[in-house]
Amino acid sequence: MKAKFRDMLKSQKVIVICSLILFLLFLITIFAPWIAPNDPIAVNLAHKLQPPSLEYPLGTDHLGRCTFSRILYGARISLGFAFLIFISALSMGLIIGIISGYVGGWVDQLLMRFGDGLMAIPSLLFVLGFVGIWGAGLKQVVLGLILVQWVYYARVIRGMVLSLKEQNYITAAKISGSSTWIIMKKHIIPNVLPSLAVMGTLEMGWAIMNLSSMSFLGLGVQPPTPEWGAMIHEGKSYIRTNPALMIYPGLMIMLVVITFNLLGESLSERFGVKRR
Amino acid sequence: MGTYVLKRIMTIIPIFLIATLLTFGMINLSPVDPAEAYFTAAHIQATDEMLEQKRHEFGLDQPLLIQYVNALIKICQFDFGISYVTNKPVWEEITSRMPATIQLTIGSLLIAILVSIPIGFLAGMKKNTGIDHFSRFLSFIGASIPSFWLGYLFIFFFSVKLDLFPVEGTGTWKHLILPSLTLAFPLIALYTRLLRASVLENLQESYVLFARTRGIHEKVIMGKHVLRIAISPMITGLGMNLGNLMTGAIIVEAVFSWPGFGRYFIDAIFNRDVPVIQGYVLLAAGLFLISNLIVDLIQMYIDPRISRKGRQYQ
Repeated sequence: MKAKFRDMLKSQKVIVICSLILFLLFLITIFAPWIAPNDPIAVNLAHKLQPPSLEYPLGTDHLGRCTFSRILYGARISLGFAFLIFISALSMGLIIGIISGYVGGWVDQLLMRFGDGLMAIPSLLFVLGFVGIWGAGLKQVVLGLILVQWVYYARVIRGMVLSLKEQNYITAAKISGSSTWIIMKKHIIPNVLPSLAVMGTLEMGWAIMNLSSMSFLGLGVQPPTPEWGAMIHEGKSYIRTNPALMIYPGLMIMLVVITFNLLGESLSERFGVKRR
Repeated sequence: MGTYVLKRIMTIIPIFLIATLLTFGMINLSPVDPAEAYFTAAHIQATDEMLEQKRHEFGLDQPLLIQYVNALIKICQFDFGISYVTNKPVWEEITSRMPATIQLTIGSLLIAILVSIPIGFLAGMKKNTGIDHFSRFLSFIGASIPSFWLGYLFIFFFSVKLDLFPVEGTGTWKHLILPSLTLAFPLIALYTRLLRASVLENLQESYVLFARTRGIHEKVIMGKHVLRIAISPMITGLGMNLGNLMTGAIIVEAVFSWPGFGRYFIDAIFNRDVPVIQGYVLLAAGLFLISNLIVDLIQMYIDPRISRKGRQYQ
């Protein structure tokens, strides 16, 4: 009993710490213009490749731009778009998953086989192909990531809806004359949302990582917009003289992804949600 | 058993068909006119007449359904069309660059297996000890570190600072180490984690209890029974990950200037070389499906509970 209590406290501790870090990051993304000491895209060749100083806390890059300010602004892009991807993929998955699970029959078959075909293509490769055909750019990358991601939510949701459908209270609701829409809104969606929140936490890390990978390849965020993956791409040429240029943004990606993964893991352990 | 294998093979075909339909749809929905893309990629200023002729050559003036069926027939003959940029068949381009990529993926798979089996197995056997904590740490870091960044960190420490390995290029085994290690890192994380969880789960099974009550030595139980079955999710992971490995290789090749297919693919994306993109995506899908099939068959062979042979004893 005591050990169980201590275990719970321990997992809570992780949840609390991770939530705090994420809250801090959230504040940074909101207040970046006020925290950042310099303009993230202001080029100043006279101050290029400077070591850390009071004016430039983390030094400057090859164009004399403040690395610290760029990292702060980069959080906006990474977190903001990761959240957009998560919300869009989730909504799409929720709608399709519920339709598939609730309606069943050939609709279900059609949607799920379509999902199988999509899942046969490695997700990042699909995004690369999508960007290749529709052209490079942040918009295409974000859309591509949403298009590969919804299918995972849809499958999980469909499974949950299928098992929920057999529950007595759904039958009771049906018998008492509730419309399909009311059943969805009042009984099914509230039941699947907690699991989705946990899944989403894990997916946020995935989205941030892949968004930065695409920017690193030069396909996503275009210069001079500050983004962590793009910063590594720009900093890699200075690996011998100024390794800090590529080390800091990478550290940020890792920190954020670890935080999301740890949080998701702890939440899923606590609420007994299975990972996909 | 024969019918099971046959059934399993049959499930692949519709999925692959849907994947081809998806890529076909993606290309046809895009605002890019293949004929125009062809001339842009080849750096030719095209007249309307030339465009019209190219469209006819590509069969773009035919109904969509016929276009799709024609494309499908060609795909079945490994004909993915001709690259807009190099004017060579895509299949030739892919196969000529594949050996370097395959070398890289096999190297990383070897590293991943050699590292993760001992760590994951020991971590599962000795839960909450030092090795277990290490394995959890490793799987967290491995799952969260961006591979392109890890590649540059390796270059920075091992090539620039310590001068142990060459920065980029190919040739000797030394060139292979850093790229393979970079590509292997997320796999190590995943496999260690899978194996640990699976060992822990299997230790709760009644066959372990039965073996213990029979007085069989712990080492035999672990080595002969538990490891054999616990490794099964890891093999599934291996099959599921082949696709990710193919995309991971694209990024790692970009970091280390590895002369595999990945770099060519990135160029194709920038040039909008549609046949190359389509060819590689479909190839990856096909490989993914086939590797999953093979994994299922291997599992059937390894795990006596799945195959017929084991069932006879039950």
